[in-house]
Amino acid sequence: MSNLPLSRSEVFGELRKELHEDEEFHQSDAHVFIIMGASGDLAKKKIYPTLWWLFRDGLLPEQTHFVGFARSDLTVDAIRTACMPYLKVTDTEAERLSVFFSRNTYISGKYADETSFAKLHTHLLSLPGGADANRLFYLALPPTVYHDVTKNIKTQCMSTKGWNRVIVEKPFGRDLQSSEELSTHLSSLFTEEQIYRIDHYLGKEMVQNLMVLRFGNRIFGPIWNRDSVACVVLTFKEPFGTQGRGGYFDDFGIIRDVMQNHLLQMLSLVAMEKPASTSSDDVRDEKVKVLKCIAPVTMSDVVLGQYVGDPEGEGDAKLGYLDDTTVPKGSTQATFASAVLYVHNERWDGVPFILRCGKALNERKAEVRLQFTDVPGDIFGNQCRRNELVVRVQPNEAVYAKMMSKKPGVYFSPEETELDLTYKSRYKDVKLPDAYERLILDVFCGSQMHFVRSDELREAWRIFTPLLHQIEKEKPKPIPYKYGSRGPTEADDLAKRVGFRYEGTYRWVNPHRL
Amino acid sequence: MIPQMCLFMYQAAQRMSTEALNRSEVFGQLRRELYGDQPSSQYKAHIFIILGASGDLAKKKIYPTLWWLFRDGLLPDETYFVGFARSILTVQDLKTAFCSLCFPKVTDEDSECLSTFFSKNSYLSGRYDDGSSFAQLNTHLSSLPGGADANRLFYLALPPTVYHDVTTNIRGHCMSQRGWNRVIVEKPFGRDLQTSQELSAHLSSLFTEDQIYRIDHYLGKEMVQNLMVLRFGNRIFGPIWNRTSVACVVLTFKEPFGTQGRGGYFDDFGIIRDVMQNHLLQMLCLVAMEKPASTDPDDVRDEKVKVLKCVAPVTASDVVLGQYVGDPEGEGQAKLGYLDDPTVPEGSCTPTFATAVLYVRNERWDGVPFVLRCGKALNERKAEVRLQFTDVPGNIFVERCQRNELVVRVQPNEAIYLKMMTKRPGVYFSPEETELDLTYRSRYKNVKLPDAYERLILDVFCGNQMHFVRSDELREAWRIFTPLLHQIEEQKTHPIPYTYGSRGPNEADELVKRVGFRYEGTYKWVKPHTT
Repeated sequence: MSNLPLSRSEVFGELRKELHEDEEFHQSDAHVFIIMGASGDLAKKKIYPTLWWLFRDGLLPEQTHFVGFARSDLTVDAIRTACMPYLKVTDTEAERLSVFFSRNTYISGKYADETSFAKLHTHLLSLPGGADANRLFYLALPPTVYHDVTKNIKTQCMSTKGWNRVIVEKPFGRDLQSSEELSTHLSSLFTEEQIYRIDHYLGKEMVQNLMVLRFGNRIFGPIWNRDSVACVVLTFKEPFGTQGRGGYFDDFGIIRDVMQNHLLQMLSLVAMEKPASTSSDDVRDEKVKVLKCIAPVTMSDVVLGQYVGDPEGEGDAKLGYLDDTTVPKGSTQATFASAVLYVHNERWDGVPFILRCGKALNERKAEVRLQFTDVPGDIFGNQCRRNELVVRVQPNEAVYAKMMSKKPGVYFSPEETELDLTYKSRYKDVKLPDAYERLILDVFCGSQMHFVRSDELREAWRIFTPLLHQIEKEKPKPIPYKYGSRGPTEADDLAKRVGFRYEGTYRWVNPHRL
Repeated sequence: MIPQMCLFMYQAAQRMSTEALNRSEVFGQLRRELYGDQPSSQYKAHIFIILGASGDLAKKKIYPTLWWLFRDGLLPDETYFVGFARSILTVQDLKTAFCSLCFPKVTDEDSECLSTFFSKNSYLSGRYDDGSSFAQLNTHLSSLPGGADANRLFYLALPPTVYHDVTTNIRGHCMSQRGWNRVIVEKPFGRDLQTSQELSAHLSSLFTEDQIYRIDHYLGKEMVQNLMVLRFGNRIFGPIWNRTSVACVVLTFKEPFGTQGRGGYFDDFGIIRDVMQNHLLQMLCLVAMEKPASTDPDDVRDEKVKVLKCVAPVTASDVVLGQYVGDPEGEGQAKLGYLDDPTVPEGSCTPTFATAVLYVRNERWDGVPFVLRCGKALNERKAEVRLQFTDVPGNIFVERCQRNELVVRVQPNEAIYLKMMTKRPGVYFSPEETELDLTYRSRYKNVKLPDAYERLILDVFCGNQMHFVRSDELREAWRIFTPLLHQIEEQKTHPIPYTYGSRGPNEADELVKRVGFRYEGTYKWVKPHTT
């Protein structure tokens, strides 16, 4: 996306070329995007807005129609009204928005009811080009109805001439067994190429960049291994708590919510070998291979925490997790977790991968950090700090290498500085698409690279299930930490124990305008 | 303790940017840093003697540098400055000349300090070949406050013709008996291996190596000094700094102007002696050397010499020579070619541009071309070190990835940046070029980078020889270039003409390409902005 404005068809042409190299992509084909659970929160806040943005920016095929399906008796106008606060429509886009909603229809029906789906199917056929259209089913639904809905889609709603793709949201089960049951069910209905499991972290700019950074740069090749890397830290931090929505969260906890999916996906991308090609399955083959080399996490390598209110804080910060009225009394659910994993293969043997995530912490941040080993044979009197390569996923996308440079001026001593690539400084006019935008585009283009394959999912659950079961059985009390803090100090101790060195000497300096 | 890191400089430079330290604090630090717990001679006075005080170098560079150091409180308390030259001058004359030449101009608030500075100055005239003139100088030095015990620094801002006499006379008449003596020498250090060896032999008959400070002012530059820290302070560079990962190294020095009527001196030397054999080769050493046993100056210079010993003499087939011609469409000076400079001998074959490829035949660098490029009247002003890394083996991206490059820009606008590939931002998954950047004036807003001469003169005070050229380095440098220089002079090789303001002869680019540097022309620097 340079400064040259591209026409819609050019943009889409480029994308098609990139995503769909060999296969002929039929731009002229009609597509129908079906939102199952159109009345729900996810649809309202995320799916409809994303579809609107893609439509507005001309990134969808010309002939695309949108069909909502849910139990409520709704109209397109009602959906439009419900979505409006999330669409970010400017004055000049009013007309375009009308066109978008003119492509929308809504059908109400029951998820367990075949005839409702038969009715949906009839409606789909009635749309322009409908009999030939490709169909994308987005399951914005609670897991309780997954089983019925997918079965009914399969038996009632499959396009016979176009392709069918099903987009599934987490939770994908709650442990290895339940996840496997879901996978078995899905694979009895659809082929793996039809299933698109969303982990929206895979749609983030910097997560997608990991592969290019690693495999497009010669300089990283020789240092991306156990000889040079002291440890890898994968971090996800949120500065707020459950804010009255702890009911859902309490059922899952931070490990299922963040660690087992987002952080583990990032780990795979950092640790995997170079794939044979950038084809989706070659990449996912390598990711699975990494996971296969990871033993289940043990309790001794884990620190769990639960936030308590900060009496000196303001507003929500005064409230602890247990003060959330939707959280069951005395819940021992973790809102913070730090776990150390080891990838037992030739490249990574002995290198700790530290996964850290939590709510109600001191900042919002998601990042990948490789800390390199000390310089062997130091000649600068132990003044050198370890090099670190940091890929900041959010907020403020950036790549930077913490490194030593001569202290500027009349000295000859090393001091910490960084080689920096901050996106908003370097790429002024580039709008980074939202993760969902990318991922939905990928589904249109048939690119599964950024979706979770069933064997990845299985391995991810294998790694965390014993720990999760143990926690649920023994109900260990999570360590309390204050709202707005760094989390339990025990987590820092754990990181230190396995080899991460935190000096606290480094300070980011925002390069300033001349 | 790192002996060459004078803590007093650290403190004083802190002072420059932020807080004030008084001078005695600064020097307390200095003494501890330099002499540890030993009670020392640091309470002695220092005398800085400028030989050739009436000359251009003294007026334009040495006096201003001494003034800056004095103003910023970086010199020992009791330091006196003595000028010596043939002309009959007064300190007032020196001050007048100084005020008209010094840039930036002395501010009003500094005028009192300037008066103090000149009150510490004195001047003697005498003949360079006259022993009694130097005896007189010695009497004067001894007569200064604390002069009998003072340490003496002799700066030879002189043409090479009088080096021999002056050094003999310093040795014969002017050496401090109780303090130390250090002699600072400027290039040219001879014009080939033989003459340089003669000069070295002469100097070493008079002074010990640790008394001799040969200036190559490139060694005083921020980014050149940074090379060692970058290389040996960062774990990430260790595994890639070798023939396995580096495709080639390019060392560049470009000037955007010609000789501008001062070609007479230049013509006698040419660009190879003027830039390549010293500045570029010094940078090569710092890029190529093994990690020294310590940051002790001699440990460092041992490693630099070792690199040079592994470099075979350059052969003419690995060299492209050029001479600029006027650009008829240019403006002002650009219309004039080298031969249009009236001070240049008619029909001169002296190169104003040279590209040479050197190989360091050791285990780390075997087969990696080190391309040295320098020239006058080119398209830009630039000095930089560029490591180009090899292609990614087994590329998996549809579009080829451009090679990574690590660039250390010495001047102008000091910077380090790493050209690398990133995912093309947005909905794409293809690689595109970008950079990890450290631009000094963005990152270090309030840091004043001292001039090369300031650093180097301070080093002489501190007795730190790391950034000075040792005699064996010099010998090896001449060994590498002397056969080529002799061949050029014997055969009167005609340099290839290139237009004023151009990139230099195309043949140079072809040579560089032939040995393995890849120039894609696809990369564009984007100035980062703040939002």
